[in-house]
Amino acid sequence: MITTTAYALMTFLLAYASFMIGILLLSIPAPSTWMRQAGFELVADSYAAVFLFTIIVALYTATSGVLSFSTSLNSAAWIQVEKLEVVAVQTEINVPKNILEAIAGLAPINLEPLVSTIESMYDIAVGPMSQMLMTYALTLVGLEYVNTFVNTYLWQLVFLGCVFWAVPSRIGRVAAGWMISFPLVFYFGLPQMRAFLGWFTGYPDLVMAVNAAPISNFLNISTSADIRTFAATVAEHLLKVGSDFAGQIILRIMGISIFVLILGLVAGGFASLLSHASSPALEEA
Amino acid sequence: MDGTTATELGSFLAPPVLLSLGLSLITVQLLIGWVMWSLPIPGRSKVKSFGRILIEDSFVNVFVLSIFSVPNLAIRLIGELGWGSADAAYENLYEFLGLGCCTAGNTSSACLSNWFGEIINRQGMCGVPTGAGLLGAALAGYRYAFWNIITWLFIFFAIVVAITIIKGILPFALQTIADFTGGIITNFASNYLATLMLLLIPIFVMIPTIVYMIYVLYFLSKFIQVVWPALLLLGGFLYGLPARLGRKWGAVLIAVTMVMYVGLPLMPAFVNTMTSTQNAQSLLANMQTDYNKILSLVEQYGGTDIIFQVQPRQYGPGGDPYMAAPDYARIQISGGNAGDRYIWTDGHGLRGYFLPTGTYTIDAVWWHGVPVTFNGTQTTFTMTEDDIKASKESIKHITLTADVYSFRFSTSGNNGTIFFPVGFRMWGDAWSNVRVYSMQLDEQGVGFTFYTDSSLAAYYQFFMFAQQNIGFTDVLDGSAPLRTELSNPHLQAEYTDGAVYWYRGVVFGLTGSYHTFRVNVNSIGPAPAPLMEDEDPYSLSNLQNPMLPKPNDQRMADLGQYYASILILPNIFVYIILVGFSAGLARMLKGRSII
Repeated sequence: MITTTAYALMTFLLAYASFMIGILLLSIPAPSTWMRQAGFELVADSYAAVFLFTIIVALYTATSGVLSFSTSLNSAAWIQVEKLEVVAVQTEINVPKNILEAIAGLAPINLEPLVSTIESMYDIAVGPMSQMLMTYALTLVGLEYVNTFVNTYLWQLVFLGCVFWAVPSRIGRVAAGWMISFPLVFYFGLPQMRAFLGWFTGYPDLVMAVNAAPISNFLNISTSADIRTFAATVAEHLLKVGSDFAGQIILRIMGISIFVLILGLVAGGFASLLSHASSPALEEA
Repeated sequence: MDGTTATELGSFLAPPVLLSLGLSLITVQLLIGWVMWSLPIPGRSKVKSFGRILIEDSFVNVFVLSIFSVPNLAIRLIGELGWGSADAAYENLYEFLGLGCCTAGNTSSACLSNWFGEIINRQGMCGVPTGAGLLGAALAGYRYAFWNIITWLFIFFAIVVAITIIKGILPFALQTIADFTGGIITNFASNYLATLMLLLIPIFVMIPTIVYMIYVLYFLSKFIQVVWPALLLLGGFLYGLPARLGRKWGAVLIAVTMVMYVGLPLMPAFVNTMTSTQNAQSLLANMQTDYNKILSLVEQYGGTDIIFQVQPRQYGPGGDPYMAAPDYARIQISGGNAGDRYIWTDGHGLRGYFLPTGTYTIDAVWWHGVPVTFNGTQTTFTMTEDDIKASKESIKHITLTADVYSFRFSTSGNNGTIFFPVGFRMWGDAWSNVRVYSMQLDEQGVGFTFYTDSSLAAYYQFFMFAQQNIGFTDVLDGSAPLRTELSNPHLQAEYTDGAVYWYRGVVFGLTGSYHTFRVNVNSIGPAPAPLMEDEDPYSLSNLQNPMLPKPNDQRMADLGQYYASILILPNIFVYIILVGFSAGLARMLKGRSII
């Protein structure tokens, strides 16, 4: 792995090269405005490259020092918790089946055929919920991979971007813009996902959202004595819970997608700002 | 009508032709510019200004056309890093991708690493899998992911079996509770498993994607490697057209060709630099190690990797050997990755058991329900990886000798054989002053004489286990000498097959004092079945088992991250860095940005 010192050395050497080429162009005794403009621009670019590297180093120091104590910069924990919550909710959805089996076990006669029939019906009813949960879990896993990648390669990409940014004649600025902006925006942006979801859906965590939906009522309605009332209550609650629950999960998936899109757009804007490198002097040549 | 053939087109686009054509056009441009510039028009004329631009452009164009030699120079410079030529650099790139050029006679390890490679080697083929490189690493992941799934299924199966076993041994009333608890546990476990399997989905999605991307990179590299001179000269030709007619696209062609041709062979260095903390080989090796451990545990759970043997004393007082009869004993084991286990031996003092790897200590031995002093071949032992393997040569054997006399004898009038153990447990400041002086074993029973030759007082305790089917009377003879007492029997513990009685003696410190304890067996009934249950919270039969074999989630995450890296990093290099540099170069050459 290349050390920060090596990145610094490469950046300063390239900036120095820009500076020297600029001075060379400025000192050529030719009556060409192009040369003079390009020379001034190269000298200015060399200053800018060193300035950018300094800013990035300051950010790196702050992030690995003071900010590292802030758990808000670790979104991996939230994603893990949310994944476990998916498991918990999925378990809770299946609890009525467990209760049914346990009650059937108390009966002196074999209720297995009846129980399997009811369970099949129940599975069909809650199937979409389970699939939604799995979709949501898959979204979280994808998010986890992005988060891990960004956290692993953040500073390598950013420092390398700085090196590219310092290449003379702004040749590397497009590449550098993308390499600096995307990791940085996602590194600082992803941890805000939980807050954004909280604002977007009304609940920052899945279990809170699910508890708001009356899914826990499954446990209460199982105490109903009359089997017909029980069946009617279950059906009613399935419909209600199903719609509330589906709404929550869809909102969460949409929230994540929208937030990633926002981050992407911000990163794109930042990248074009950094790579706006179009050199006016050279273009006018 | 005959059109232009490919051969003719090829010869038209050959470097010398394009080069001379480009130079000719530049000359024309220069001359036209010169003429326009030298027209005798007074003042600031647009015609003269255009002529000046043409002259400037022609100089720039010559410079750009001469750029043709730059890639060769750059590759030679790169060659200083370790490659002799551009071809060698590209060969290195292909091997890194896992698509080496296994020409006939190439005996490199990548080309001979598998049977396919050998065929390729004979056939002299290029661009086919060599069993190494990114492609090999990506494909190897399938195998490990598959075994991971199999392992999880094993574990799930074990949980279901354990629940069924427990349900079977419980009374009916508790079965419902077991059903309910087991249902919830299975429910949770299956959901947890499903979520963990989700970890594999990105890998399964990523691997085919990686394969496609690797081939895309290969074809791109091969294309650039083969046609770069033509592309570069075509770019130069377009760039040099008079009046900047093809300047933008010429600049793009030149920039892309140059950057790609020089940059592509650098991709392995980039990826290796970035992923130096990630090593596919070690990640996969870690997964393999985990898998072997898990497989071993799953295979071995319920099997035997260690045998405990608890035996009574083999010699009576005075060193006389007697027929020692082993019996049920309870052993307390601590250590490993868990707390205490209490396990029972059978009626022969033997117990085969499974212990996972770790260091263990035998903390206590009970003869039936009574703790006794003991010594053993190893009271602290270590279970190694080899010890728990199915293919081990011999099973580890731990022998413990308890401070117990145990007899096997027939009483008069009875044909049956009975066990009649008596154990000793001395305590107090001077217990060692008390010893078993003699032992009388006959058809009626067994007697012990306790003796002290010290003037110090000491306590001692002994216990006797009597099977339920044995009728006995005990005779306590504390009459001689004076001041030596022996208590009446106390019931220590009752079992379904018998009971333990204990007696306490105290010697008040008269030299030569002794007394005798004797048990006479009166009758023997049918032997009951003993019920000795283990208390092992860490065995598989216990649902709250924290030692249930479990793959390391972190390793899965590491592997996923690795796949993300080998998928993303090469593509970042090519599609962001190289394309970005091409755009930058094209812009510098006054071309149109391609992003």
